[in-house]
Amino acid sequence: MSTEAQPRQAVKSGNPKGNKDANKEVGQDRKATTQGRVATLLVAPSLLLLAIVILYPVINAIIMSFQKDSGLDPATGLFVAGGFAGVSNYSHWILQQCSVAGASISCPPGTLGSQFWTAFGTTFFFTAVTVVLETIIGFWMAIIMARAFRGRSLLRASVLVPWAIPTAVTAKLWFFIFAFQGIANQLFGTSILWTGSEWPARWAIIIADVWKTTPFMALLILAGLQIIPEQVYEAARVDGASAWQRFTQITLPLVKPALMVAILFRTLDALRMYDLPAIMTGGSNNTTTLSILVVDQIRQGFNSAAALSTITFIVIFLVAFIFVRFLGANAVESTNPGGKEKEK
Amino acid sequence: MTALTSAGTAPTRRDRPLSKQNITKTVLGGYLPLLITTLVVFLPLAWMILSSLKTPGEIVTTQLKVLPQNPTMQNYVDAATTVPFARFFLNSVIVTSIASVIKCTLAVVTAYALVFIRFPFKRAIFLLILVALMVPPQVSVLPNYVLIAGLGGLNTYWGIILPGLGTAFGTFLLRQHFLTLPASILESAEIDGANHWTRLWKIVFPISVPTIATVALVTIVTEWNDYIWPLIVIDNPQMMTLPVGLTLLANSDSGSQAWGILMAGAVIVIIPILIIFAALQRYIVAGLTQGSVTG
Repeated sequence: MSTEAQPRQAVKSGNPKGNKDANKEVGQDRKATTQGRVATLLVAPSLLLLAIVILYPVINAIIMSFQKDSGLDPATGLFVAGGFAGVSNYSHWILQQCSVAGASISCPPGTLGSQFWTAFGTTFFFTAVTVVLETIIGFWMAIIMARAFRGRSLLRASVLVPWAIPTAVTAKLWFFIFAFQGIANQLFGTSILWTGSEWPARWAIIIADVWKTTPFMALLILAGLQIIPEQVYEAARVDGASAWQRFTQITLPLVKPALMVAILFRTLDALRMYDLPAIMTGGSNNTTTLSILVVDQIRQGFNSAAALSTITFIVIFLVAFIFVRFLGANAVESTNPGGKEKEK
Repeated sequence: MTALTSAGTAPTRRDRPLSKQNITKTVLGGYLPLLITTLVVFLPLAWMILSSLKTPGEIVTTQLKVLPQNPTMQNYVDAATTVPFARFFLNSVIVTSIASVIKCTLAVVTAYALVFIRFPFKRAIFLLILVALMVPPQVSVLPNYVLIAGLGGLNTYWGIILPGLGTAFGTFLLRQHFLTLPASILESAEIDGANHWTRLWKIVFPISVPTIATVALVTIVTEWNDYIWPLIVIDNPQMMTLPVGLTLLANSDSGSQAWGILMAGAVIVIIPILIIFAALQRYIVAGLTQGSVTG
């Protein structure tokens, strides 16, 4: 037991800034007088930009999602003006109700409306698999990169290379590798239509995504590892903590804030995945993600696409909320103690 | 030496630096992963470079030949003559540098204000910034297009840059970092009468260089690689950025010949960022290490 307790103590005394409790001390502006003018000056440009390029489009999309498409009604052949559509754009996706000849029926297979739940599942499948793989491999890479040994800078530089390559290039490269006569099939002596059938296509996309994005995870986790002082490990070693104990008792708790933030970012990003499946498979064979569905729908009708992207946004928001609320992604919580006092 | 075995074995073994276990640990824990990672990272890239040197007949073949039999630069010549790559490169550099500077500056000042200055609705504003991170790009693409087109921003640099400035990633990362800075440093500066501007640039900025460098790196890479938005807002080849230009290359040719040219184009796209990246990377490595000393 003592080996477990002592490293923790060492953590607290050795690293007053790195641990969570210390964040409470960062209420340094408590004494400061209200500095609204300076703050406005510093925050205003960012907020203005966000309002123009994020807030305005989101509000616009939400308004559009309750509108009817104007145009010819395929059933009656008459021109219909737009107007308020109620929640029909939403029920179109969620309940898969297509309006044909004025009546709502289930969307026939093959239409975009019928693909919503499949795309929903595919998106979450991709997100879960890629984020888990990227976290594990990224953590492992970060630990190795954090060590001092000959060639470390070479390793750090080379590991980050795939992430620096444009996704468009990555997708083309892996599409080339997974081509029927490509190197993947030739190396393994297989003749799989990688981008032509469901599971191989999914794995091809996952492999490409993991290859591309793991370095980003590793970089964020590495930044978290860097703030753990070496003395903490020294102290733990002197106390006889094993490598496993040092990992679970020191590394994990101390890196957790950075780790959760990295996972949160990756999850948000993965839920919006577009480029890789779009370029590698064009969304065929059940590799359509919600984002691809949105883009496909844009070509068929803006308002329905706006409803779908609003749904996507809400889904992502809920996932982020669950992360922050229950899994302790320290995005907001860490500031609550100081933040609340500051506002009162 | 301690660092060599930082995740190593029990203290008794560690006392002999060149013991068998220690060497094994170093190889297994350091160099073997190094080798594997480097292979995984570079083999696909090597394949891309090798393919770019091959003739069309060699690329699509049933008999695998790893090395090009008759290395040729023809693919590069074709790629460079089919589309104006120099122009794409210039466009990418202009867009990336302007956007990155603005984004990083905004991120630093906003994060500073959110952490160190007391003002109303601070938490609400931060939550807003966080929510901005969750908006799928597809939501904003359409209204943004209408907005930018209305302002006459199609096929212009600012038309490419403006919507991208709304990302909150840097602000978020820097805010998390600023929260870990010791309060005492800033308090003493405040007592000495330093105003916010001085505190930001003379105290917070210098000790945050590693994180700011990371934000800069992430921003530059994101801008350089941005695909969907430039694709939508630009249709004049003279204004295209490199990733968009690459797809132009892919569309302009078809059949087996396209692969070699496409791979050559891909090599041209990644070489500049690899160079910039290698330069910044050293800085990042230095910065991160420095961070562990100050931190």
